Amino acid sequence: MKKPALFFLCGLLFSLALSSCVSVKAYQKMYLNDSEMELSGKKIEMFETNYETYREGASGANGGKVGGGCGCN
Amino acid sequence: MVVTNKIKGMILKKTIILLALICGCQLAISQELFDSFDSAQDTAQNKLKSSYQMKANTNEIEANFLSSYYNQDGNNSPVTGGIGTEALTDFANVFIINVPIDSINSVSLFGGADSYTSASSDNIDSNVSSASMEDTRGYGTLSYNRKNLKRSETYGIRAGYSKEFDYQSFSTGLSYTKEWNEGNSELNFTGQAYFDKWLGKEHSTELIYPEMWLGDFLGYQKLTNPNRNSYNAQLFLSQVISKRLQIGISAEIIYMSGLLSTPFHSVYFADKEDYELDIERLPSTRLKIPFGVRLNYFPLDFLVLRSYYRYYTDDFGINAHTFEFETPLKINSSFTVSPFYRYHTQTASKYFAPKNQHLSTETYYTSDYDLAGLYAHKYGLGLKYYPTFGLLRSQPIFNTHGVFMFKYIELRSAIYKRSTDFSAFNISINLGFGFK
Repeated sequence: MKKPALFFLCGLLFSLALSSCVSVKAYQKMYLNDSEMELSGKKIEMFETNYETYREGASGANGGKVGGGCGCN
Repeated sequence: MVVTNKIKGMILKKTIILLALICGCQLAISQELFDSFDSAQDTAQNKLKSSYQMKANTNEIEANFLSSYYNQDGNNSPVTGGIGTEALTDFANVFIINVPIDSINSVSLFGGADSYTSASSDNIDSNVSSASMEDTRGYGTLSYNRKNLKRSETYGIRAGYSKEFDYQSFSTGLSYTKEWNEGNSELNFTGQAYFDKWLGKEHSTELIYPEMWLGDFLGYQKLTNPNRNSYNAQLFLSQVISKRLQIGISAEIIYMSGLLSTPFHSVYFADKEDYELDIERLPSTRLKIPFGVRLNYFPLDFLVLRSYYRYYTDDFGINAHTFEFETPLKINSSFTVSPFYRYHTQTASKYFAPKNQHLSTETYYTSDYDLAGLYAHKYGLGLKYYPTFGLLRSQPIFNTHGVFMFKYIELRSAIYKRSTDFSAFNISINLGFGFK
């Protein structure tokens, strides 16, 4: 538990530190605004995320569902 | 004591080195970024910076229709105690619509229905065609979002419901998003609660148990609480690193309580005859903690690199690592081909054992291979066709009202193979529409 927490904390610090310096203007975001650059799972992936949630003991942190539906089959 | 202090000192040193590296990287990146601008641009940018405001809602209604076919097969069904067919097919349809009411308020609806056939559920009882053999799950979620453009904040609220033959779920959630640094940094908090309930057979409050389970006769206790509640809180930070690179970091806590086992999952013991089987027994609480990182990079004008890593741990004893990599290739301005690969590995839950390996003296036991130690590969291909002006476009309605657009079509197919002799195939389609 400690290692991933440290990893997450470092990542968070790194991102927060960057936020004070990096400043990409709206008109420079041609690449960042591309739909392939979205920082979330794609809509079409939702079905895959759903069965992965059921077929694996692990879930979460990817926008997938964490409750509702037994997935018991 | 001395050894402990030395270890602590080493950890502290490593942390300091790591932070120093982070600061170094930060300086390098920011230096590279700022070096590329001349002073004239800086002046113009400073003017823009002072007038920056988060994006208001557009006047376009967006809708998606998604459909998916899923097929799985394996030979470790928990319904029959860790052996037996897991064959299942599922046909799912989902409709998503987002309606902006004005520049700051919007409503969205997510609704769908799954139709599935399950050979394992059909083995709960000996009826040739039981309710569990073929069934439908319906679900819907309604969300409302409101933006505060001056404060760069978005507030959201949602409520949902789903129902299938043996299960129903109510859900509710809140979200808060704050962006700053001209939209280059964004923090999102989402809290959700699911209030689920296991249902009995039609017109009965008794839960569905395996037909072969002798229950009271052998001194086994029936389940008394049919409720399962799940609460989750997620923090997601996204950060632009350069004009072509951005990162998203997510931390989540999921707490579940109530009936976490499945009433019709069977367990066969090593110290008892097979007819003395019991139902799956699991603790009444579970704490799950996943951490995720997404890093997306656009190195060339025709290539995007999408990567994802997740670490997961819970108090059932499962530790998991998941890696995913996708490389969308832009063949031309309209057409994108996206091959992808995903790898997942997990340790077994401390409550899991295969058929005939549990002892009946244990408090908790399951033979559900979803909780087994395993690894899984998933690979496939996505195709997207998104012409600049859409695929189809109607004339303005009555010459004054808006235009209806069929904007894009997307296809995706995946093959999933698990080390427990389980495999699945999935193909999905996404149709994107707009009206403005």
